[in-house]
Amino acid sequence: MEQEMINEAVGKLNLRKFLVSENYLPFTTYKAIVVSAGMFEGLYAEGKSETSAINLLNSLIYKKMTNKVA
Amino acid sequence: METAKINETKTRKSSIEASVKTQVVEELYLTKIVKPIRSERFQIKKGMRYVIAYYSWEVSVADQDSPYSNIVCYGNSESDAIKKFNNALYEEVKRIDPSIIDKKRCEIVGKREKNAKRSKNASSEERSLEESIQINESSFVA
Repeated sequence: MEQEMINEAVGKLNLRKFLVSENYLPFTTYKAIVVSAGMFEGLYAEGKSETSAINLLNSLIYKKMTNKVA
Repeated sequence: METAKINETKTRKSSIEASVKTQVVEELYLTKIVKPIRSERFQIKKGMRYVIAYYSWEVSVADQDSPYSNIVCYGNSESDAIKKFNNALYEEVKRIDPSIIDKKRCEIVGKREKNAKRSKNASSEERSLEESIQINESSFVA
């Protein structure tokens, strides 16, 4: 499934996320974490940019969501 | 020739500015909160009432005591909102203390010049090595 469609599907879940940057020299990494209470609470993903961290997290959420449904 | 040189300088300048922007925002190490905002609109079609939900995203600083806690940006997607927020953050840093930006620019330009010098030296060393090999080969043939 395309990333844009995943983001749209996950967007409808109304989840709040934290975006944290961490400095692991020589690069900064970004962590996106779900902070809304519920089955996705605490789920996180790391990426090289904020967008990639968010996209990875959304893919994880989507995977978890579809597995639960199936 | 002149136009090519001008274009090259322009590209270099904008690439430096982009790096400055990215690094200045990056080095603030802020925790951001990304919130979805649901809005609804009613639509009546063939006598039926439909609810259409729209989502937009809000990005702000998680720490309310941060000097940047007044910045709140909205976008049609999470990445769009983050992009707008980072731009606003950069503008705020520029407004509060432009010296941070100048310092970062000097740092980036200095690093790039150092790297360019190093690669130039490396290529001239390679060239001289190639030349000496050629000389050796030619002396061997003779």
